[in-house]
Amino acid sequence: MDTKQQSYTLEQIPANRRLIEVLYANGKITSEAKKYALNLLYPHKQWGLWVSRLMLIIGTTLMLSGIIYFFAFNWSKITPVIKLSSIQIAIFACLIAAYLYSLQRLSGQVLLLCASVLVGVFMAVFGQIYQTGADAYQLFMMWSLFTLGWTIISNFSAQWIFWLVITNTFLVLWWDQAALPSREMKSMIFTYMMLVNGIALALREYFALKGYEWLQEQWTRVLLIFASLLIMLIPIIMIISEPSRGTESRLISSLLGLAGHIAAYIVYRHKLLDMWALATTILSACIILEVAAFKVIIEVFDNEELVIFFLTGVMTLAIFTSAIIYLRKIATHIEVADHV
Amino acid sequence: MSNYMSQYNAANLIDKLADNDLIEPNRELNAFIINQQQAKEIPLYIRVLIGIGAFIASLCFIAFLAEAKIIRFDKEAGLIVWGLIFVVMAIALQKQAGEDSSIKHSIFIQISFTAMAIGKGLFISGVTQIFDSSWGLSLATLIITGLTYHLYRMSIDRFLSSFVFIFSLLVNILWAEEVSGTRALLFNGFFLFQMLCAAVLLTHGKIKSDYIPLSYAFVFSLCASILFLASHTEFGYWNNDELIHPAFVNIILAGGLIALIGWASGGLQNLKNEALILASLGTVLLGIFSAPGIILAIGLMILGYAKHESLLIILGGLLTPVFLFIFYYNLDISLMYKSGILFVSGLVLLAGRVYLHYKNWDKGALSCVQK
Repeated sequence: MDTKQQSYTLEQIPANRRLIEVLYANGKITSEAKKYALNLLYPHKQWGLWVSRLMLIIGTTLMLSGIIYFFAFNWSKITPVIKLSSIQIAIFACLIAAYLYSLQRLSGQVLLLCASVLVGVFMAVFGQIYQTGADAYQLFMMWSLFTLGWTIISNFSAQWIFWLVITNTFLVLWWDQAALPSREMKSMIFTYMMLVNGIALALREYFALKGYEWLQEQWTRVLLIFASLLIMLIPIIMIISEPSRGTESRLISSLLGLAGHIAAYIVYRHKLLDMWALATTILSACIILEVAAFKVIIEVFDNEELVIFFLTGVMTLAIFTSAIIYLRKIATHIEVADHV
Repeated sequence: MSNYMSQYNAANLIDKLADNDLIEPNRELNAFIINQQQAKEIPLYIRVLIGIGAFIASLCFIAFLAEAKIIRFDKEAGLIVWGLIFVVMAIALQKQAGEDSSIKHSIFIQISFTAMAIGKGLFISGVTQIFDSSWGLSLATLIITGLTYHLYRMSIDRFLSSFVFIFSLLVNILWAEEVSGTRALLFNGFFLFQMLCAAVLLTHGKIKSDYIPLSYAFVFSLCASILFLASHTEFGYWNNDELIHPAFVNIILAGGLIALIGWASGGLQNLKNEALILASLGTVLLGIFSAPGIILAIGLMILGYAKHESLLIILGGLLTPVFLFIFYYNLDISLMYKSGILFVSGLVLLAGRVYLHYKNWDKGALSCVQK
């Protein structure tokens, strides 16, 4: 087959959905050939299984939402005993069913997640009935503690993400309502959250590499890297934009944030190459540079708005264009490496 | 990156198609594939970065132009002329950029998109001021999108321009004073129009890839329509709110979902199949009991799976929690009623899942659907 032309050969060109669409749109292949090619590249043998899973996940989400909405309505015609006992029965039913279905199957894992959600519903309804006056952080702390045990044995990434959301909420509320830090220590919350989410991301990557399939789903990495970078970005931006209000805790958090950015870059550029994770890290770095450069421009050109706007525009172009050039260089390098 | 690539290359694919007598290998086909590879689209994550950079830079340059008195926001003609100058500059820069992955290309593309954002922003401001109405914004966006869609070949620009136009129409239909009295009728008609456009663009095989951004603009606008409908039941200006009942939208969505199931199974004639009759019945039940956001989310996920487009699956997946969140805070409907809607919808889906399991259709290939 004569495949040579310029720098590409057919063997170097990936066969993907885009190629098939282009061939079909330009009349190079028939609809029959298009269908065959798509099924060859992206087999649809699993339609029944996929639909079944979709129904399970969406159906369960809707039913749980219905339950949450129902108890939020706080219907006075139902007595407190019935409210609390019905939720408890539902929790136990979910746990028993999860055990019977086994945690190796999606049904069992989803039932366990239902039990986790219902624990929170139970505590919210308990607080609603008895007006305990407890701070909100206590609800999330107990929720996190009660569900930790079965989260560890769940082998289910959604369960872990759900637990992390509860735990992060607890941390933020506890810091605000119970820890009552001094102004000097207020920003330490970012350090704690960086540690919690950073450790979660590191463990995810470590065990995914060790072959734990349930941790290898891409969405868990995307979610964790996005959350971690956001938490790392905030104190850095704060210290750059208001250096005069730079407290010790803000400095510690921003230094840890910078270290986290460097670590993310090294890991997703050199160890576990992932263009989306790398692009997110670089976007975060661009925002840091942008804020820093803007601060310098404002300091130097004080009230000269004309110059400030112009220089900021030029600088934005320079920062983002450099990032794009760098990412495209890596992307081209990977593409060639993957297909030569 | 590797996750998005299959194990096949173009040579393998051509061999496979030829082995099955679906094509005849020839030099012209090979040359076509190689040529289109030279002009390939920039990856999505880079387009996002270009978009963010251009957005910030364009705001700075517009502020600079205003500060330097080059443009004045009370002089419509000046805004339109400067807008058009920037648009022409953007097109020229893109033509000069070429189609490779060089440093020159990256620099030119970033500057070009920034110029386009400035140009469109100024043009739309100018035209909107001439009409002194929110409909002027829709008209301005339509004109500039129509003028540049085929001249400026950047998918993120095509998507954003088209989306802003469709979204501005939606906002006007829901809140503009001029449509008072016919708001519900117009909204329902507009929803039907969006559904039909999205359906044709996403499922018709002969639609060129140039229109993919437009199809996504319609999909995003459908999501926006549904989210508005979930947040309120009455829309209008000041105290002239009018009820828009979601029943018609539910009928359209349920009908669309049945058609989508038929299309995904290989043709509407397959809807006579037992599994698909049941799927259609389930959809009818959802149409009766459920809320629009749920049906649309399910539809997007099925469409994404059928078209192998993970972006649609993610969009459907994200629409569900966003819809549930907004729906919760809709003060026009009681929590008890909303709870009933969600519970019954969930029950219908879980019942469908139990039936799939009972019939053993969830064990791998669902031949009855795939025929």
